[in-house]
Amino acid sequence: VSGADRTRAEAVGATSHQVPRPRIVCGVDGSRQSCRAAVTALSLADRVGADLVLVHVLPPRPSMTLASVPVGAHPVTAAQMRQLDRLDAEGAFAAVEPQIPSARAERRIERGDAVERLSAIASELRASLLVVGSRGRGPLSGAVLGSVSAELARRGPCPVVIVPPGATLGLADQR
Amino acid sequence: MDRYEWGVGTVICGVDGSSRALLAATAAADLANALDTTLTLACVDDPWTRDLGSARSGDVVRAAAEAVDPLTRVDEVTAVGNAARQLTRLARERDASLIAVGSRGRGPAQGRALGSITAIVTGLAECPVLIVPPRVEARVASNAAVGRRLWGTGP
Repeated sequence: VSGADRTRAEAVGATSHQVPRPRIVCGVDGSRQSCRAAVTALSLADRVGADLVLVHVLPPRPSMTLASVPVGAHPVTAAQMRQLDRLDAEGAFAAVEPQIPSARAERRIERGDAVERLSAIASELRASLLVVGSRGRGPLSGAVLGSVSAELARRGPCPVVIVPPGATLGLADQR
Repeated sequence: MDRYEWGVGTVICGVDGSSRALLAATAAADLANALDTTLTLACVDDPWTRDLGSARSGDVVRAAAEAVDPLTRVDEVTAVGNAARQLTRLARERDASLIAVGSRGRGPAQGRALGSITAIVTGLAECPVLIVPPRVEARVASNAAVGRRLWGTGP
């Protein structure tokens, strides 16, 4: 909120409802970790009166979803790749659906580098917080801190909340 | 009885006298206020790394407490030992809902991508970890003149 906006809001006797609500952006990829992160994000959003935006970032090129399929085993068409990407995104959101019904959070699908896209959206929405699991589905899923969460902590545009696997989710236990 | 029905556990923030840690404390204070809970400022003196130099942990915590939003309910605590281990232990003992740290603190890890303490805290933590990246620091510094808060759109 710019100073001018706030002054204007005060001038018309605005209540807090007319001030834009803070936003929390959360990255989801269908992994258990990212589900935890999403539940934590919703809990934080509820507590502080913020809007939650769930973001799933597809790999830069459609074929990259297929990393686990043996190369050359079956020729895959571009249309099939797009289909798989769509399923990938649906899967990521479906994984959080039980805890976070559609109405509770906006869902967005992006394509590109996860760190870059999450940062860009957090900047664009002027997010107060960016929430991620400590690691997702990446190739180094055994590492303590995944590359996406570590990179966001290093160069994210806003404070970053990393939800580790051992987190007992004190904030979310109420659900 | 689940205590979280009634309230959110404290937000604990590690401080070491560095400006990054102070920024994390500011963010943690704003979040603690928004969550209607207390802020626990913790300074750990590691006799092995001597990251604090000649500073005393009690003074570091007090300085941080004076720097955050005056409306914040602040608890001050100090400990001796490995910073990451002590911070996560304090968080566990106090049922913290969140641990806050700067992206890197003092000491030899300063030049690394992500402070070693920050990475270890994330590995040991049993609650979410709030990290304030350096870019945010620059933004807050430039906003300081107009008195904007880091968190949210409140006054």
